[in-house]
Amino acid sequence: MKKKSQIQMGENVIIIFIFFILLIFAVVFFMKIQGAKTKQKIDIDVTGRGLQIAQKVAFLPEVQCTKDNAEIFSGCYDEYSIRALDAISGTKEHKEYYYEVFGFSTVSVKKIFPAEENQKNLVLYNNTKGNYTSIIVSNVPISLCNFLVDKKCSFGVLKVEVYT
Amino acid sequence: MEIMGLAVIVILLAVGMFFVTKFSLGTQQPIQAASSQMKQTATGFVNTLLSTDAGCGGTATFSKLLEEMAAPEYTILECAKDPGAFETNVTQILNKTLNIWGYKYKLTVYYPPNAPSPPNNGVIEINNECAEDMDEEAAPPFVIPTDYGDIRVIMKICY
Repeated sequence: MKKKSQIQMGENVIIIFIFFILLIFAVVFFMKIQGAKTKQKIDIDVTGRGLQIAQKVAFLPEVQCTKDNAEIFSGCYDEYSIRALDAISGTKEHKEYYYEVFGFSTVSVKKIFPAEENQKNLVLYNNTKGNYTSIIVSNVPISLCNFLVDKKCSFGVLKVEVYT
Repeated sequence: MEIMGLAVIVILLAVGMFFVTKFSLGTQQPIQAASSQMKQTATGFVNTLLSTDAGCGGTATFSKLLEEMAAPEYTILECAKDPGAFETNVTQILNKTLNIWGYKYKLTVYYPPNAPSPPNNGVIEINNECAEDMDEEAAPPFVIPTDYGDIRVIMKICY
């Protein structure tokens, strides 16, 4: 009788042991999935933030091409206005003024075609985060137009770098 | 007692199935976000391209260049007489944009059947590693109205 009880006791211990091993596997599996999902969510949020900033730039009256106070066509940016913003983008007042809209990011524009020699990036806003862990870059094709002088539009790229 | 064991196994299986389902549904979100971004890029690219100066002198845009290439014998736009003009200039832009950003794409221009002498028998195609069996996200076709019918510009991004 005593021996039978001991065997049953052993069986119970083994079952409980296996049960806990399965439980540990389940917890590890769950934590791995949660970790991967959290990383994906952060990536999507930051990429989305980049596109959100690009959208905000598109609706900034400061850079839109306008004729009689109406936008000429969507995705059209006034080259002279962008050059003017580039000239003051390094000032403290500029960073403070646009911080609520752009946060910690760099927004720049580059003319791609027709190609010009010594073409430099025009910076609309530059506020780098001190100790950032990653940069997410979003590129949006835009028309850089000059309706004041030659009424031509160049192919440009609006680059948004978001620091996290 | 055995019934209890069976019940525990069923509960464990149910919990396992729940996690697997939850995980497989959760991965749909980034795929949707990526495909929406591809569509936006394709649309933005063609929209911008067609309103850009074609580099032909004057104020001709790529849209005007395509229109003039439909009937080069009647055009006063010099570069429209070259059947490869559109492809050459657009390739310069693509090399500095979508190619650098790592996209696979196919840009196709379809001329209307009534166009007098369109280039390449009425179809211009620029293809960067887009295979038939790949999934794709396309911008809605851009239409350029002409006297001979509509020119359609279609940009597809493959993945």
